[in-house]
Amino acid sequence: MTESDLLDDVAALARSLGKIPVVCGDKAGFIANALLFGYLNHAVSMFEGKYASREDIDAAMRVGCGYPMGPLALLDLIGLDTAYEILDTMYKQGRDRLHAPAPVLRQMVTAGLVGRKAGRGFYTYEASDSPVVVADALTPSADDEPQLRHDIRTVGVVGNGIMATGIVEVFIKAGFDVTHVADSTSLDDLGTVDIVVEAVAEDLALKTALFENLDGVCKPGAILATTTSSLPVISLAKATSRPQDVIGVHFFEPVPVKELVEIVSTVSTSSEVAETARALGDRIGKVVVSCGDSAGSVVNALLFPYLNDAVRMLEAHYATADDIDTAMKHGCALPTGPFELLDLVGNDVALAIQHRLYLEFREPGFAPAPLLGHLVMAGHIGRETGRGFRDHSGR
Amino acid sequence: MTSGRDFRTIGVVGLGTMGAGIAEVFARNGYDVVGIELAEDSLERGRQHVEHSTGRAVRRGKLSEEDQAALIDRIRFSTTLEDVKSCDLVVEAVVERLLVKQELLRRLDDIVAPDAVLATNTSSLSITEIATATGRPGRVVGLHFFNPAPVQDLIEIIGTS
Repeated sequence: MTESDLLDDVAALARSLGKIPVVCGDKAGFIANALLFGYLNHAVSMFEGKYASREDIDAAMRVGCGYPMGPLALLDLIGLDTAYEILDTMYKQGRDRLHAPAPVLRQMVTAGLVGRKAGRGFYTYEASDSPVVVADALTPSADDEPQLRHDIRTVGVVGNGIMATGIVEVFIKAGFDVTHVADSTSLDDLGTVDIVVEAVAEDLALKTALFENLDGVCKPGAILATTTSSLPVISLAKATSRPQDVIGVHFFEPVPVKELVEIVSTVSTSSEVAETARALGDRIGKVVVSCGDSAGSVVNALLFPYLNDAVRMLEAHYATADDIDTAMKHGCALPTGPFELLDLVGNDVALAIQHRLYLEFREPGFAPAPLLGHLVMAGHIGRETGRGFRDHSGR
Repeated sequence: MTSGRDFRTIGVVGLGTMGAGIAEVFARNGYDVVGIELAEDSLERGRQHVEHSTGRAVRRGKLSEEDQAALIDRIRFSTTLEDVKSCDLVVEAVVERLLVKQELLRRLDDIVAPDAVLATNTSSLSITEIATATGRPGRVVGLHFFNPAPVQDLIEIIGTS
């Protein structure tokens, strides 16, 4: 075992270099890589499963989370061979399925598509070691630019929260006629609108009833969009007689500020409706990404399991919350550390999203960390309640 | 907290991108550095790496030419592993292969003073396993720099278990 004072001495040495030291135990990946590579591997699986395109996965994390790079572009920089080695070591040590390298990683390494250094990885580069991405077969062409396949002039927004008023604001700013219905019992004004965006409370029964009613009120061909971030869009589509016209349009709060919109197509959504939703997102000045209808869309599905892993690391007493936050901010250039972010979004929200991810994918590694549940039970939600992972009462 | 272990001379074995960056960081902060690559051409590439990297810092106005020259002067480039003999701490940054790192640490264990510290920059291997090759597992640490070492400010410090 390393002599106890030696770690302090080496930390002092690191500080004398102008560096920020964090001390942790001898487990594969240490802090930063252990948390980063689970997330990167998950992004590779999403790409491999054609759940979203490489461009959309990367844009979602850059724009949605403020990360300096998307996960697939980052893997190209790190080198897929290096990433494979690290994941493989992590898997063999911890036997966490989520660390087992995604099959396509091995295929790409074997094919020599190891990233920037080879000029080809998830993206294609101008030359070996070049950071300049050039178009390849997977690059969307100008012909793929989405068009409004449905004529959209009037927009209805249902809901009385900050999300609904934010959505009203962005559509008005973009020059659309907006009908805002704060109370979902008086929907008659929505008979003539071309699209309805629903932003009522995240409650399946409430939203299902609303979709049944919208189906009766709205004209044929009108698109019915939901902003749900946690419910299956298809279950709302099934409540209508027009599932092909129902789509998920997931905004982030505050809507006027956050640029990302995730467009969620169900197995029943028509391609014209999906294209129209994407084009509409462009018109209101958002960065639009498309994905399938499974829990968490892109951003939450990639973000929350990583936050959950950080909680597990903390509850295993592997490192302190401060050191984990420091490692992720300084080692991975993330804008916030996982515990800062959890206290901001709220442990209750994180627990609910993580629970839904677990129930949908049944990945043992997605099971909410017990500590997260305990904090919620104790009322330690985060900044909102004055205490979460940290005490915010004095600030 | 300062038990006062005095690190003055630092050995860096392996002068690829990572090792050269680590040598630069120590030299830039006033430490005497012994940089080792066993082949002449690799050693020359290591030296060029430090020259190019510090040259960029000069062009960006972050380092004066005099300081650059002094920095490079503080690194003694050598192909002889025994030249790390008087180092207080030696960091290895060779290829990520357990057997290679173990063999290197076994040799370093024989070369350096008994109280000197051996550090590994591994990002995926077990520090404890690497340390078992030496007779001083209590003075082996993981010192995980991030690439590029002169720019990234995090260092993970890992004890053996």
